[in-house]
Order: sequence, then C-alpha cells, then structure tokens
Amino acid sequence: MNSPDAENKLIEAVKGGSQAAFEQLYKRYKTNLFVVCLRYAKDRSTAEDYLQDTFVKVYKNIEQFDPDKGLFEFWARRIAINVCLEDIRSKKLYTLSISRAEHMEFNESDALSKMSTRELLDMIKTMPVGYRTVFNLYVIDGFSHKEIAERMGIAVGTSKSQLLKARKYLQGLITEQVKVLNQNHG
Amino acid sequence: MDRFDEIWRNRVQQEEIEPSLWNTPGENVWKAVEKGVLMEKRRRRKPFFFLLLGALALGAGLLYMGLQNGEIAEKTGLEAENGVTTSLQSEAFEAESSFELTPEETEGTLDDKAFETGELMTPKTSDAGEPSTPNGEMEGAIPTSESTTTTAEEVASEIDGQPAAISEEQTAGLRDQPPLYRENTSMQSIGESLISADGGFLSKNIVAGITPGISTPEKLLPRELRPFSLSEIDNLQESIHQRILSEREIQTEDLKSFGAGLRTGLAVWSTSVNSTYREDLAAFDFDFSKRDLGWFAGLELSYKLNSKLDFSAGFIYERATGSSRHNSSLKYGVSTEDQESHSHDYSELVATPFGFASADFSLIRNSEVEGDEIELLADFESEHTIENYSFPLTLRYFPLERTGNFSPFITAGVGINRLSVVQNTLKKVDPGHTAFDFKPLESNTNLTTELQQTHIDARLSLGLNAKLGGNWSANLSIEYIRGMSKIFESGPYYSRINRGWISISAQRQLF
Repeated sequence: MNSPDAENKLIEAVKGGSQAAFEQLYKRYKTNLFVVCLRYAKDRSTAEDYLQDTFVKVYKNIEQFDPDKGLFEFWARRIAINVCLEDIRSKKLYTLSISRAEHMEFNESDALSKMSTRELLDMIKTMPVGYRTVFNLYVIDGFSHKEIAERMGIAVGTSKSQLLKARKYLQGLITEQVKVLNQNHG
Repeated sequence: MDRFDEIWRNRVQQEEIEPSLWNTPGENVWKAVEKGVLMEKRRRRKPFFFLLLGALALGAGLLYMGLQNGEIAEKTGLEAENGVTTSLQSEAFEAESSFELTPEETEGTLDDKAFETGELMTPKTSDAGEPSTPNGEMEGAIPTSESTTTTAEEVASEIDGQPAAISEEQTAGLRDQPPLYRENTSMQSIGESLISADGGFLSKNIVAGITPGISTPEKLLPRELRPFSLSEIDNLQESIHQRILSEREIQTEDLKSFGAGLRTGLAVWSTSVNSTYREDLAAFDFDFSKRDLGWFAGLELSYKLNSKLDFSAGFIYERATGSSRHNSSLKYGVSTEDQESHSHDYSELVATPFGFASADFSLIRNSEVEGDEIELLADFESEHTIENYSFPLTLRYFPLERTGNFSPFITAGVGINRLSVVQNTLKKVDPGHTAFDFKPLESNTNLTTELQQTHIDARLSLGLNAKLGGNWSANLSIEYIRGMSKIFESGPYYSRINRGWISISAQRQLF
C-alpha cells in the first residue's frame, strides 16, 4: 500500500541517486513497460533487452522528468518506444513486406473482446516487423504518420501503407481465430 | 483512427495488465539494469576524480617545490661549509707558507722537534743571529686561494732581498708587547668571527712581527705575539667546524619548507536539515536532536610559505555512526489484509538525513479496529553508518611570535569530501496504534543509498603548535567544518553535514 505521493517521492529519491528507490520504481513499472517492449520485439529475449535499455535510460534521464508535465509511466513508455525504434531502425527491419493479408468482413469487436491481452499481443508479435512497428506506433501508442515517418526514417506514404497491411494482416488472423472458435462451438 | 484501431488501443494499452509469468521479465533483466546504472554512476563520478587528481597534482607540486628547496638548502649549506673550509685551509696554508722553508733553508735552522710537537711556531734565528730565511724569501708552499697568494706575494715582495732584520732580542721584545687584536673583532657573523680567529692572522702577524715596517693587508694593532701550537690550531679548527655546523643547522631549519605528518582525533557530526515545509505528519519529518560521534585519521602535508604562513593539504578518513527518526503515514485496509495472519506487508522508502532507506516490514493487527481503512502515523527509526574521505586544503597563520616552544595558530580553508559508504538500516517502526504490531521482514535492513557523494565544506580552526625538537612538531586544534553543499535533497528538504573536530597531529619538517 502506498501513500498518495508515493510515486513522486520515489522519483525524487531516484533523482537524489537512491538505488533502492530505483529498484522500487523498476518493480512498479516493469510489467507495463515489458508489455510495451513485447509489442515491438520479435521475441521475449529481445523484449528483455529493450526493457533493460529502457530502465538504464530512465535512470540516466530521470532529472529531465517533470511530474507537472505528465505521468511518469507515460514518460517511461516513450523511452521504451524510443529504445525499441532505435533497435528496429538500426537493423533496418521495417523494410520487410508480405502479401498475405486479405480483408474479410467479420464482427471485430466481438472477436477481440473474446481474446485475452496476451493473445492480442501474440498476434501483434507474429506480424512482420515493419507492420508491427507502424501498427504499434499509430494504433496503440498514438503517433501520427508524420511522426512515425520521422522516427523511422521512412516516407509518410510508407507508414500509411504499412499500417494498412498490418490491419489486414491482423484482421486475417482474427478471422481465422473466429473460425476456430466457431468450429469448436459448432 | 477507425473502430478497429480503437478496439485494439483500448484492449492493449488501457487495460490494466495483471502481472503474470508471460509479462514479467526475468531476474537477469534487473541485474543487467543494475550493471548499467553502476556504469552510469561511474561516469558521473568522473568530476570527483578530476578534483582528486587536481588535489594530488597540487600535492605533487608542493612536494616538488619542497624537494627543490631541500636541494637548494643543502647546496647552500655545503657551499657555506666549503667556503669556510677553503678559507680555513687557505689561511692555514698561508700560515704554513709563511713558515715553510726549503729543505736547505730548514736544515739546521729550525728546531724540528719543537716544530713537529707544535711547541714553538715562532721563527727561530740561526745561531749566528741570522734569520732562518737567509735571503728573506717567503714561499707559499701550496697557495690555495688568491688571497693567500696575494698575501704571500705581497709579503715576499716586501721582504725580497732584504736581510734578516730581527734578532732574538726583538722577538723577545715582541713577546712583551700588549696583545694584538684586529680592529674588526666584533664580526657580523659567527663564521666570519671564527674565520678571523684562526691561524690566518697568525701567519700575517708573525710575518708582520718578523718583518718590521711591512704592512699586511689587514690593519693590525699591537699585540702579544703568542706562540701557537699545532694542537691549538687543530682544536680551533674543530671548534670552528662545530660552530659552522651548528649555524648551518639553524639556517637549514629555517629554510625547510616541506613537512608531512599524521593527524587523528574525535569528530562530532551534526547533520543540519533545512526545509521550508514543516507540517505535522509531513512525509519527511526528520528529528535531528542527536549528534553523531565519530573519529578520523589521516595524512597531512604542509608547505611553508613564509615564517608566519603555511599551506597544507591532507587526506583524511572519517567514520561516524548515528541514528535519525522519521514519521510517515501508512494506510491499513482491514478488508484487504491477509486473512490468515491479519497483516499487511509494506515496502516503504524511509527518508533519512543520509538518503532513503528501504524498509520492508509487516504490520500485524492484533485486535479489532473500527472502520475498514485505518491511517497510521508511524515512526521509523533508522541507524546510519557513514564513511567519508576528505581532502582539506588550508592556510595556517601564526599571528604571534614564537615564545618558547609554543605558538598559537588559526587555520582557514576548504575541504573536498567524498562519502564512500552510507548504510541506512531501519531499526524500528512504531505504528502508533495499540492494535498493530511491527514485524521486520528479512529485507528490512541493508541499504546503501547514493547521495550527493561529493560535497564541499569550509573549515576554521584554532590551535597550538609545539616544537618537539629534531624537526618534529605537534599540533592540538579545535576545528569547525561547515557543509557548503547538500548531500541529500528531497522535495523541500535538504541536508548538509557539519562537523566539529578535536584533533592532534604530529608533523616532521622534511626538506
């Protein structure tokens, strides 16, 4: 149980150099930030690397965090995304493309609500890295195509097309999932 | 953003994700993060090492200057000694040269035995009443200096070709004359005085005595021509040497400017906390009524700038232990407590003057309480062990002339400090409610927090210096050390370390 100002207290302590406070901060946010990393990473091991780099960067830059400008979690999440993008950009992974997805009509809302968060993340993880990155940035983390283009060093049109393909890919996966569910129930 | 995107965002980002195996990173991640943080800390420590490097360079510079001065002092001393010796030798040679005769001249004319035993140095005349130097020629046997040669030459030129003009009667008459002194008997320096008293003037006087009418380079007054023995000259030379050595020692001591010594003492640590926020039950409400006791020991180097001012640099290790109290509010939810043990586990970060202490503990409810959520006003007591390295740089001023062996002094300076170990251990939590008991968990101790490890202070001290002899001296002083930089800051609170030292030190002048 934490007092209301616990987070600010913790962050102030980390700013003061306390390693114990930083460990508590890690314990508190490791799950949420790991989920972010899992979304961008191709596997768990890479996600762990991303998480490690994220926390080291959080420690290095904690002085720049201003609680008046937003929540710590959002700030740390941005750092995690940057860490992931840095790796993806350096490896030029986003240029991959596939031609598998085809759009199918189905009740997306029902299908998605029946799936757990882990299943959804697993679906994201199966996407090619280019689709996955743009989808994560645009749909889940709320970046614009212009921002994505700048951050990934690609054209805005490429970002849009990658997103379109990502959507189709996921819709395809969900349709297959729905089919399996229907067969099981039928 | 279409509906598809919206559904994804809501499900993935906004949904509360419960920790599970799949979304929990492995233990190795935290270890790697710790390593990364450690590297970052090392990077941040660099400025401190530059400061340390600067202090060491300063010390090395002082040492070099001290060595240089030592060399100069030694050289000066040697030169002084050599100069005197040369002068002694030259005058002794001069004396000898005044008397030394060629073998032929010496043969049969000098009482060899008497001369060897030093009984008589007064020149003898021959039985025929002629002087021992028939042609009156004076030869410098080993002229070692210009002055010696000049004197010998002057004398020789004056008497060259003159017949011996002194008889035994004249010699006896000279013995009866009143003592002969130099006009400048009160010499400015001991060395000069001693030099003037050596055999140099003997030769001249004797020469003057046996060669009436010849004026020597030094103006002489009438005096008794006292025969000198060789043993007397030896003693005189030894005496001169002793005096010169003594004088040289005094001069060298004055020139010595570099010293080193050990310093130790008791320290009283007082950690001051400044704040603009003092509400009851504030999250950081410290109690600093206690003074922490400690000790210190280290090395001190000094460089004498002039007779009244020293510069010193040191390396001091300090250790102190103390405790602090802090109160904070805790919430206890009855409905959410562990149903079997009726307890809640807490993981709190306790603020102390020396940073945050991690506190893992349990509160156990031992009786019924009213309401579901109880707010407890808990007191935390922490114990601290602190180790600090300091590099004091001070100027020491001796305002008064030294009377006897004692001399008071005042010092002022700054200290560069490095907190090397700060261990904060939670000793006790008092929930402040009879219905709850505190139970420490295994991890409730052991924390080393990282503070502003490098901190600066200003120093002022009063003391007494005592000369112990043999280049050793002792100092007793009382010092006040005021923390100039913060060691810990959290919200409106920040703490500084002030110290009071009672120290003794022993120091030896090296160069």
